[in-house]
Amino acid sequence: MILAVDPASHVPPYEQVRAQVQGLVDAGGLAPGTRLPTVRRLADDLGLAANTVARAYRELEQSGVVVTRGRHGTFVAVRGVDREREAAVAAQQYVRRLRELEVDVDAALKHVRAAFGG
Amino acid sequence: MEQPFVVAFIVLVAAGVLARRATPALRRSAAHAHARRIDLRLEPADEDAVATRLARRTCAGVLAGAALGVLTAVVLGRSGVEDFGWSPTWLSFLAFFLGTALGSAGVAWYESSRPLAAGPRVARATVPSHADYVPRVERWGARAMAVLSALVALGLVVLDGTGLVELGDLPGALVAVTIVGPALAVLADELAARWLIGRRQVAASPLALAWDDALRAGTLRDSVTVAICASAFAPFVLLGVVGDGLEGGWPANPGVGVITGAFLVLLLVLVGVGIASLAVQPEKHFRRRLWSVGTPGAAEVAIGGAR
Repeated sequence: MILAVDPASHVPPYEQVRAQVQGLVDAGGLAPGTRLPTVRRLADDLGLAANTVARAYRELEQSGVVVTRGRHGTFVAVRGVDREREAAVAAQQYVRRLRELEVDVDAALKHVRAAFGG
Repeated sequence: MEQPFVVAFIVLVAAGVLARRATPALRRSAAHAHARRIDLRLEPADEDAVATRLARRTCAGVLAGAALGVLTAVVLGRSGVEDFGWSPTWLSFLAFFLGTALGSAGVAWYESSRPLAAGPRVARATVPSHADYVPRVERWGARAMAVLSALVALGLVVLDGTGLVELGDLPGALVAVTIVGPALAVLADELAARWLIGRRQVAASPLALAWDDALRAGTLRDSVTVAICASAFAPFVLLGVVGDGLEGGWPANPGVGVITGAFLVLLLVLVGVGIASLAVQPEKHFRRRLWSVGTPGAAEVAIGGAR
């Protein structure tokens, strides 16, 4: 999981960082939930200004690739196929519990709609 | 061992290490030997830089270690603590290890803060942890030894307090040091590791980053060695001092049996940690964790791998 930045490239440094993180996430090299280095640390390592890395992270966050959880840091977001898989696991856990409670499908759907606020 | 012999031994060890890195050719040779040991490629282009960095770290470590070890031996020799048997000797060696770790940490700090020429840079997109550099058996070994050290001291206090076994007058200060000292050493190791891992890593290629990891792993392992040695040293000294005050032998004096039993248990745990540590090839641990097969850049840094 190596990021490389070439200051002599015609591609702006923030775009190099953004594109490489996006590429690693898309290729599965960075799994959902993986914590990324802090802006300051990555900027220090790559010899960039903190604002440059912050801009790359901001654009990644706006496109849903990463999420920032306050002081805990920046993490690779759960999205796309991963989101579907996580939803399926959560549904199976929910259904298992409902079977223990002997709740039928109609009642379960009613509870789900209510939980969604509709 | 008499303190002058300790001083001579430490000076000889330090001189030997320094002599093996006295010339650029020797430094390159040592760097290649290290590269083979950790299975890390050493390219001709990086050879001099890596050899210099390795030698700087080793020499700074051994010089600081020798200085602290000799200073400790001299101070203890003048203060007349030879009555404690081997304790001053081991304390001098412990000071040597501590100095080595401090010297290595100093070089690590210097290297992470030195200015570098502009140019392409690489960085890791993930956040490495202490566990990536130091094997679990060494980190948990240090903690286990610290707990064992405290248990030995507390056990002696409880046994003495209940009157079941006569242990004579327990040295209060030494008991306190045996309980608190190792725990503080482990805590200091963890804090030092957190500080070092938080420092920047400057590299222009994956191979340079891998070598930085290698140096970092070496420094962190020096640090955990100090914690392990301190955790082993304190209870051994306590048992030695308490044992020296006992008269007669086992089974006439149950106290002798208790002290000997505790000594053997400690020795077994220490040997167990040592053997387990050697078995996992700790010097290659960071390679397995951070540069394992399949990791991007791993083939590029391995000896004989694709370039």
